Amino acid sequence: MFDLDRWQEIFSSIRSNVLRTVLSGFTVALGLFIFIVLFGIGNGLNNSFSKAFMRDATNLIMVFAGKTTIPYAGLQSDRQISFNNDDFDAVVKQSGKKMEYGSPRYTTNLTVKYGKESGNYQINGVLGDEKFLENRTMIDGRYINQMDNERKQNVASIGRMVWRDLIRDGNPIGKSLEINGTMFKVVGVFEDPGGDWDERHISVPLSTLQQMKKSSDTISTIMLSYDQKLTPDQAVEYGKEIEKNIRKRHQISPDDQQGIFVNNNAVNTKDSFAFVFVITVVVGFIGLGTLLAGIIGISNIMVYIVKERTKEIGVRKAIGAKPAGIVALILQESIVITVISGLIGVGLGVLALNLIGNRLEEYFITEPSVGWGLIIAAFFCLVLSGTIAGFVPAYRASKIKPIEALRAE
Amino acid sequence: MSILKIEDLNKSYDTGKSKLHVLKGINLNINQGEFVSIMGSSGSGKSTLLNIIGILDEADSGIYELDGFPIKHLTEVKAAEYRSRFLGFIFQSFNLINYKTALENVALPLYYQNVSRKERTKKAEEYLEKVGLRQWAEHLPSELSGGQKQRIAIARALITDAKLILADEPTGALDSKTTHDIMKLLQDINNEGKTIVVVTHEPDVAAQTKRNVVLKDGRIESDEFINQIVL
Repeated sequence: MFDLDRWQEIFSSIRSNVLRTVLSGFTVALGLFIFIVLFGIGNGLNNSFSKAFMRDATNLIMVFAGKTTIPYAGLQSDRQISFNNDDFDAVVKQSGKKMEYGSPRYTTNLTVKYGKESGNYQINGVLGDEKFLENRTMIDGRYINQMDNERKQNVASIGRMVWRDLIRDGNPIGKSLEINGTMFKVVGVFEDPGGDWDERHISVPLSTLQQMKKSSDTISTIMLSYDQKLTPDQAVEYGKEIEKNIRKRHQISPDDQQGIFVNNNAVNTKDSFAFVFVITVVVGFIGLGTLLAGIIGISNIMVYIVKERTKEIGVRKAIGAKPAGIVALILQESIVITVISGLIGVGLGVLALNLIGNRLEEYFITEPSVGWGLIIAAFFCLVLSGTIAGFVPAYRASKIKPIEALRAE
Repeated sequence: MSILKIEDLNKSYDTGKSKLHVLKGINLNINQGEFVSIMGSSGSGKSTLLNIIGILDEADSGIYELDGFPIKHLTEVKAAEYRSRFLGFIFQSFNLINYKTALENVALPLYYQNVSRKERTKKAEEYLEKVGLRQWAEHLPSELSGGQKQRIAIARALITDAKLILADEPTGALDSKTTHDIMKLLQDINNEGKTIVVVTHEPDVAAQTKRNVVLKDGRIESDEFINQIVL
């Protein structure tokens, strides 16, 4: 294969036919470039969607209380529904193994003071599982836990922004925050992929917060995550079971859309990923189409090149070239052109994706990229087609009688 | 010593409905060192005969021996090998490869004989010298005149030390002054012992060879040794 003379033949032929070479190379490079960019953008869309669901646990189900609009079971409409600890316990009992994590949440906005700094923050009374439900990670210290709840401790896990706002550069752990006149010791600082808003939250033991609020057992929300092993359909069904149970407990009409809201990510995930899938298929289809156009382009140009060189082939045969030598010459040239321009196309495509990077995030495209496996597959697809496209006419050219080739104009 | 022996050679072309009988029993014997011109009007079969002699085309029947080797039912590979070993071609339209320099064009036949690059270049320079174009070695065909191109083609035909040089209307595309120069070169080459067969329709050119073969309607009408006009 490595024959210096043949390489020299090829490069002198390429050098002397720059336009032809550039045109055929351009088809290949453009095909791969568009293919990679489109596929990358499709992946970027996918990333954005995935990320959007990563703000909280992807398998989150939240149950909110509302106001009834339909009279039911002898009760009037316009009834404010309010959950309590028993509701959560009932859901836990009902769920069995279908529940992964679960926490009730009692939400209130209170003034928080630290030294001279103060601000109004959302305080959540929760159980330790909230950390997983909100998909939080600790920067420092720990999250509140079961022990804190059992002992009604005055401890708080604070969001990163709370720390930044109030304590600033100081070490937060062990510092005391004054929440609505009561002192809470900071035991941990968390990060939340939901961003600044979610990082301006403070989590305290549910029992402690309920005690502060005149020993009520009210909760605002029930949060839970379903077992990851459930299929989306099973998860949707599970969400409906919970809804039914709570409707029954609070005597809300099954037709009342306002009395209770259940936000089940399984439903959203199913819909959104179906949407992303469709977009990916469409984008992928366009990309494959471009690749196919590239293949057809290189095929056409190879046919043309061989046609154009028929006379030269005749001369070469007259002075002693063997058929195999003719085929090898044309094939190798076509492979060299497709490989080099293919590499250029891949390089430009990957470069373009890198340049796009996160600049189009507001258009819902995050970190567009294409796997190397796919790139290599597309690359070889084009090179192989270029080779086959070159081989057929080259083989035919090598078969025609030199006298006919010489006569060609 | 016989270089070329042809006995009762026939060739016809299928033109759809009818068969066109181009060569009707040709007998020709050419010895080493001869300078033969094949004449005839167009359609007389002279080009077909030259193509068969050049193993560019194959006869339907008859005997063709080149330097004692029978040329019959050759594979493509074998034909290429024989062309490379026995024959040197000179065409009317030169048929140089336009993106190769004069030197590279001259050296190309040796490439197909797997001669090393160094050797090829050395030999090509030698033959360029012989045709008087040593200083034009690095020029492309497009930068050369018709006569110069034909000289390059002659050097290319000579470089493999072929037994037989075949020239198809070598002066057909040249003016009379250049024709004179090219024929002089061919005479010089012939005088060094090279066997040359020229196809031409120009009586002047034919008169400058040593033997005239005239074809008419696929048969040899006359075949005679003549008094060469030495240039």
